[in-house]
Amino acid sequence: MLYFDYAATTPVDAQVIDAMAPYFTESFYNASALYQGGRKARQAVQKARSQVAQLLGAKPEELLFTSGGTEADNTAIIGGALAARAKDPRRRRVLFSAVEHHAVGESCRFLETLDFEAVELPVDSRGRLLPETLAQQVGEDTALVSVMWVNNEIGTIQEIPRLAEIAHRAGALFHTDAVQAVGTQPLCFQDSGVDLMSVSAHKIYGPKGCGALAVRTGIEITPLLRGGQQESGRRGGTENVPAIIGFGKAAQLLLERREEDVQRMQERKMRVLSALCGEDVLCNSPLDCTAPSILNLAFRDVEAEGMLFCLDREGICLSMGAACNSKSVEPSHVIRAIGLPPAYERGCLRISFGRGQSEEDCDLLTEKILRFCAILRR
Amino acid sequence: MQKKVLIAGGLCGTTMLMAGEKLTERCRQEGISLQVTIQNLWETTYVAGRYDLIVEMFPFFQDQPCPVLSGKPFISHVGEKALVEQVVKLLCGGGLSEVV
Repeated sequence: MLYFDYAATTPVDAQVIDAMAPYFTESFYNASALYQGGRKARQAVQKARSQVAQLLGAKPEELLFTSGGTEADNTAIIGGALAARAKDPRRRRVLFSAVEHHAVGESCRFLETLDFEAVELPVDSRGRLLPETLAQQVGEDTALVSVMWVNNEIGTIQEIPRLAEIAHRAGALFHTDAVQAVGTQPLCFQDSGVDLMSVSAHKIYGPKGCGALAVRTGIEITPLLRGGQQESGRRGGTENVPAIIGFGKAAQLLLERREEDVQRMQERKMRVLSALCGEDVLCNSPLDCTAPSILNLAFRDVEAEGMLFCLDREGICLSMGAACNSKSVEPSHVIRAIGLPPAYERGCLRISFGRGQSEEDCDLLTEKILRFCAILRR
Repeated sequence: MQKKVLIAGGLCGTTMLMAGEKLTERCRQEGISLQVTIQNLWETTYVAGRYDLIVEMFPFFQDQPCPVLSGKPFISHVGEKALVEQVVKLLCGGGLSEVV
């Protein structure tokens, strides 16, 4: 099997599994319990909090563990907007870019049921939200702005610090979904100017079912999950101790390996791109403004699903930028937002890179894609 | 006259269902009673039984005992009418070579 879908999820690192194992067995205790076993579990959670905080350049107490990136996005946007409006009733608008992950888009649209206005901001042909576009829309009535650091379909890197500054000039909160960014970008929460930042463990060789929201000191959010007083009263629910420990270990390993990871990914991305680019192929992930982990290519007159099907039968895994809705396989909102010619819209493939891919793997992938392109264009 | 058509493809059953309805309605006008089967190839590529025609939403089938047509026009809606007419001609007894 050839795996080229690291942007969907990553294999759990063996060291992460080893770190998690004891908390499924002899150290199974509830981290809120008072007896020694519980206190040990709590200490382990606090250590993992420090490890993830170090990776993000945040203070440990600014980290709120969640069940994943989607919960972190929901908490940031819904919790952040409600808290902002409670402080200043004028703030009833939330702005988000047209290429956000559905967890962000749907959270913003949900706020419309709570008497907010959700405004989707257009992006350029490379998927970038231009600072002037945000500056024109943000104002004293804006509660929150949400722009993802790296796009999960085409890999576009946004100018987050600059966008955050523009939001702050209008007194709005700024959230970024950094789920796809943390694996390749040396981001620093403290220096970024961001108020709220979402991350997820299973994108960096950690377990599924665990993520975190960094909440800048002094920023208030309205909790979504109410119950116990876990996570400083900001997120009720018994901590998923094994997964949190795994997230901490994955964060520590990433800090050690990220530079080497990025170098390897850049090489693989260049190798695949140079083998596939041609007159009938558009590159939606130009090297100068996208993360090395993602390469989105549009193939003229090809049905991406047909390509996926053929590749799957050869044991090759990758993804397409498309969302299946009730009528037919429509191009995804991201592909529509960057505006491709009709002949290319349905032929978008996302090839994503990570640890463990060899040059031979890349060559085999490109050979198969070129072969199936010829078949699918018949 | 009764004919059996297989429409095989991927994720969007609705696209294939609508294609099946269009073919059934058009064939009914020609006195052909169509039995349409929809198949998601992601679930199974095994073809049960014999068909008079297969419409594939992406290239997959090879060496089939019956004609195989591309169903791409049902996805892109380009050339959809011509494809429906092509299917009717085939099912009315015209061989593939007679179909322009």
